[in-house]
Amino acid sequence: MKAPVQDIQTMPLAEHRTRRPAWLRKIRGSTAAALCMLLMVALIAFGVPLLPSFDPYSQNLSAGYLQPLQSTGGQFYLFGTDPLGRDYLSRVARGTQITLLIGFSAVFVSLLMGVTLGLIAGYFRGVTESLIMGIADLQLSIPRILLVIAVTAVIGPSLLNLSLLLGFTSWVSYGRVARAMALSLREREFVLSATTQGASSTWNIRKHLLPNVLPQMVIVGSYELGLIIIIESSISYLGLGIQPPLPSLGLMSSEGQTYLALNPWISILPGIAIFLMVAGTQFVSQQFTTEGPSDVRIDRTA
Amino acid sequence: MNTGISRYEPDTLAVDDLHTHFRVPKASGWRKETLRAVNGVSFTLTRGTTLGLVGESGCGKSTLARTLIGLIPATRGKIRLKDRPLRGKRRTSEERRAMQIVFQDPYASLDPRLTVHEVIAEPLRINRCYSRIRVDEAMESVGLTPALGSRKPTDLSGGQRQRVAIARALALEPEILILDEAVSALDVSIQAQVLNLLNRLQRQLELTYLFISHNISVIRYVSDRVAVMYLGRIVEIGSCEQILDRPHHPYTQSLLSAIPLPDPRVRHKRARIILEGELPNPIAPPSGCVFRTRCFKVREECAITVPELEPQASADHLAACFFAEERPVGVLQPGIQTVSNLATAGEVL
Amino acid sequence: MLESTAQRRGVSVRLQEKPRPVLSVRGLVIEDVTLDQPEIIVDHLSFDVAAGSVLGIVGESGSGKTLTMLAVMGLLPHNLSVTGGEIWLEDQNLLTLSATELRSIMGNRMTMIFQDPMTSLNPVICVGKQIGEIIQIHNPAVSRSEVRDRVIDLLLLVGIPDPGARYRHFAHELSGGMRQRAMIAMAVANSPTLLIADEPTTALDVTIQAQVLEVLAAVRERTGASMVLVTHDLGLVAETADDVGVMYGGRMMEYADVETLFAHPSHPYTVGLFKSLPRADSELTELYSIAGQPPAVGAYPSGCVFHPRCGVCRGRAICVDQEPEREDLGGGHESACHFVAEVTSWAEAPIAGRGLEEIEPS
Repeated sequence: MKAPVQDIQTMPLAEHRTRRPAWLRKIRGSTAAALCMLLMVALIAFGVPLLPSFDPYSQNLSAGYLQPLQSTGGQFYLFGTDPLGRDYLSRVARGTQITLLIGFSAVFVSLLMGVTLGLIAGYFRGVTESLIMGIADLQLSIPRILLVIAVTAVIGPSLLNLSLLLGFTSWVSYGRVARAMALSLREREFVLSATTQGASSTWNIRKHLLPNVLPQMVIVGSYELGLIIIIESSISYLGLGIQPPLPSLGLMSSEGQTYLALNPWISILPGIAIFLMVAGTQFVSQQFTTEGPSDVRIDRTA
Repeated sequence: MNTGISRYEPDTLAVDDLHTHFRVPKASGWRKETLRAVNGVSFTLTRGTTLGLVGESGCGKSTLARTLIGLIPATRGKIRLKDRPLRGKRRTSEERRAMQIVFQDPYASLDPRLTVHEVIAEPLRINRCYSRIRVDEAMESVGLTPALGSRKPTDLSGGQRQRVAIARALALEPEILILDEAVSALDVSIQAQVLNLLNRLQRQLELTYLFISHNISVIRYVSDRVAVMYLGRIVEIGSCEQILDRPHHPYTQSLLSAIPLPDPRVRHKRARIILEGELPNPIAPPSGCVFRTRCFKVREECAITVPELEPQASADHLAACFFAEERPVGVLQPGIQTVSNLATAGEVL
Repeated sequence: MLESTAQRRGVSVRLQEKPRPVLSVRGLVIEDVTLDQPEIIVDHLSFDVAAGSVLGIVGESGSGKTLTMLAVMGLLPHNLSVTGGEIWLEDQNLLTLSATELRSIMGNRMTMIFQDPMTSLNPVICVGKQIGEIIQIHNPAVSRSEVRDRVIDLLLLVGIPDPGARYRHFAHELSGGMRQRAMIAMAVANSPTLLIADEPTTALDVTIQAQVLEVLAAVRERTGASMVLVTHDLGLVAETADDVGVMYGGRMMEYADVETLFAHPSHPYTVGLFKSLPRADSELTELYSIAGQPPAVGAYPSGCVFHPRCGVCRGRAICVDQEPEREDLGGGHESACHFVAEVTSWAEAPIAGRGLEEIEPS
C-alpha cells in the first residue's frame, strides 16, 4: 500500500514552539475544584496527625456527643466528639488515612496483577489469552463487594487482607486495557524490529510494551481508586470491614445513624471525607482521560 | 547503482521455491481456507548488489520480506544464507546479524519512549555487544551527529527517523539489508537524501540489498536487478535495463505504461495499457496463470497451466508467460489503449 | 495571471484581457490565532484557475497546499482561520458569503475529493444513497426515482460495473479504486464548475491510479469542470495539469504552464525537486538532494522561506531578510526568487557530490 502523505487529521498542533505550558492550558474547572478537594483530604489525613492534640483513641465519656466547634474541659473539638468522647477530628483523620492506605495498596496490587496478566494475554495470544480472559470474565460476573465480604468472613477483615483482596478482585480493568494495547503494540514495527534482532518475549514485553502501557494504567488507576474507596467504605458501613478500635469511616458513619437527632455530624463528617476523596480522584481521572499524559500516539512532524 | 559483477562467489542469499501460506477463517466463520501470500518465489542475491522487488499491494512482497527475516514461518521452500539453510522462524545469533530489515513507516518503527541512542543500542544490548562507540559510529555513518542520541524520535523529522532506523539495522553489521518500502513515506527531497545514503553505505560496507518498493523510479535508481511480483509469484526478473526498458511480461508492460512520467511532452504520445478489473482474491487465485484475468494477451492455454519463468532474450532475463514478447517501453503508438481495444484489434503484441 | 503589489496586498483587480478565471485566490493569509503568538501558515498566496483547465499545485508535506484548498472550501480546522485575502469563485467572494450561501455552493458548484476514500465515505450508508444525498441536498424538488436514475448514470460514468447492484453496496465492500470512483461520482453529481482533488491517487496502486485518472479525465470532459489537483507527485502533474504552482512554506515559489515549468524551471526549489527525482525511464548515476528538512507548518524561516536550503542563495543577506516578490518571466511564468537570473546557470552546473548533510541538533 502506498503510504499516505500527510493527512490533515494527523497534523500536529505545535512542535517545540513557545506556548504556555500545555498542562496549564488544559486544566478544566472541575479539575481545579478536584485539586482543592484533594488538598483538603491531604490536610486531614496528613496534617491533622501532626497536631499535638491528635488522639483518636482515648475516651472521655463526660465529653461525648459534642457538636463541632465546641470546647469542654479546656479542650477545643473542631469536629466535636463521638459517643465515647473521642476527638472526632482525630478519628476522621485516622480513618481517612486508613482508607487511603487500603485504596492505594489495592490499586498497586491490582495494577501489578492486571498489567502482568493483560500483557501476557495480549502478547502470547492463543490458549494463554483465552485462559486469562476467561478468568477475567468469570471474575467480572461476581460482584466485587459480595466476593470481598464472603472471603473476609473466612479469613478475617484485617488491613492487609482487605488491601490484598480488593487488589485481587480489581485487576480486570487494567488487564483488559493492557491486553488491548498489547494486541496492537505487538504488531508495531519497533517490536518486530527487536524480534528480528533476537529479542525474547520477556525483552519485548518489558522494554517495549510495559512503558507504553503504563500511562494508560495510571489513568485507569486514578479512576479505580475512587471505586475501591467506595467499596471499602460500604463494607465497613455494614460492619464487615475494618474492625474497632481502628477507626473506619464507613463504620463511623453507620454508627452515627443511631444518634442523628442528637448529633448528626457523627455520620456526616466521615461521609464528607469519603466524598472528597472519591470526587477528587474521579475529576482528576476525567482530566487525564481527555487530555492525558502522553501515551503511544503516532504524531507526524510536518 | 550498476556495478559489473563478474567474480564468482557463493550467493549471499538464495531463495528456492518459497511459499508462505496462511490459514484464515472463511467468511462464514467456520472452515478455514488458505491464503497463498507467497506462492513459489525463487531468486538469488549476489554480494554487493541490489535486487529491486516491485509490485503492487497484495502481491506478497511484504510477506516475502517478513518470511526471509524470520518473522513469519515459511510453509515450503528453502532459504539459504551463504549456503547455510535457514530454518523456519528460528535464527541463530549469527544468522540474525547477517540479515536485517528496515521498515516503511519511520513513525511506527521507533519506540517513542526510547531515546535515539537507546533505539540504536537495542540490537547491541540484546546480543550482548553494546558499546557506546558502536552506537556513535552507526549514527555517524548515516549522517546524524551523536549528540542527537539524547533526543526522542518524536523530536525528529521523517527523514531523520528513517536514518535512525537504518543505523539500528546496521548496528549489528549485517551483510544483507532488506528495505521494505523504506523511502515510500518520505518527501521527495528527503527521499533523495536517503537514497544517496543507501548507495554510499552499499559501496562503503559492501552491503547487499533487497529493495522492495512499488515506486519504479526509485527501484531503477537503486537496483542492479529487478524482480516483478504479482499475486505471490515473480512474473519477470532481469537486469534493470532488461526489465524497465525491454519488458517481456504483459504485467510488467502494463505497469510501466501506467507510471506517470515527469515530462509533459510525452503525455499524449505514450502507449498506455489500462488494465481492467482488479487484483484477484489471493485466497482463490485464478487457475493457470494468475494474471490471465486482466491480461491483454490471454488465450485458452493460460487457464490450464501455470507458466514457469523462462529465459527470454538472454539467459539472465526470465519471464513467466507463454506469450512473452518484447515491447519496448517508450514513445510508441499514440493514444490510450485499453485492454478491450487491444483485444478487439486482434493485435499480437 | 499577472500580479502587482496592489494585488499582493489583497486588493482585487479584475482581469480584462483574459476570460474570467473560475477560481481566483488573491493574497490569501491563513493563520493559527489560537496560539499565544499567531503563526502564519499560508502567507499572501495568489493563483488562478482558468476555465476548463487543470491547475496542479505541487508541494511536499508542510507546504500548506492542503490547508489552502480546505480554506477555499471553508473546511479549515477550528484553530486556523483566514485572516486576509479574497477567494473568488467566478463572481463571488467566498469569504464574504454567509454560511447558508456557502452551503448552497459546496457540493454543488464547487466540490472536493480527498485522499483516503475509506474515511471520506460513510461506512453505514450504502454508496448509492450517499451519492443521491448530494443530489437531493441541492435539488430538493427532484423525485427519488429520478435521483436514483441519475446516480446509476453517474456510476456508469465513473466506470463502476453493474451499477444497479453496486448501488446497494457499502464502502467496505468496494476496493480502493472503486471507492475513489464513488467519491468522484459524488463530486460531479451536480456538475460542478470547480473540482478540487487533494492527492486523489496517492493511496492507490499505479495501475489503479491510471484507471482513476482516466475517470477524472472522462468526467471533466463530460461536465466541463475545471480542476485543482493537489499532489506531491511531479509525474502526475506533468501528465494531467495545464498550469502548475509550486508551493513551499506556505508560499507560491513558482507558477507557470506545465510545459514551461518542466522545460525551464526558474526557482531553486523547483530545480532542486526535479533534480532529486529518480526516473523510471532512464539511468541516473546520482541524485541531487536538497540539503536540510522542509520546515514545520508555521515555523517558517525569515525572508525567503527557502533560503536555508537554497543552493543559489548561499547566505546572501537579501534572501535572509526580505521575502522575494513574484517576478514575471513572461507568458504568465512567475518565480519568487531574488536571483532568478542565476537559477538557470546554477541548474546546469554539475551536481557537486551532493551526498549527506550532517544533521545538527536544532
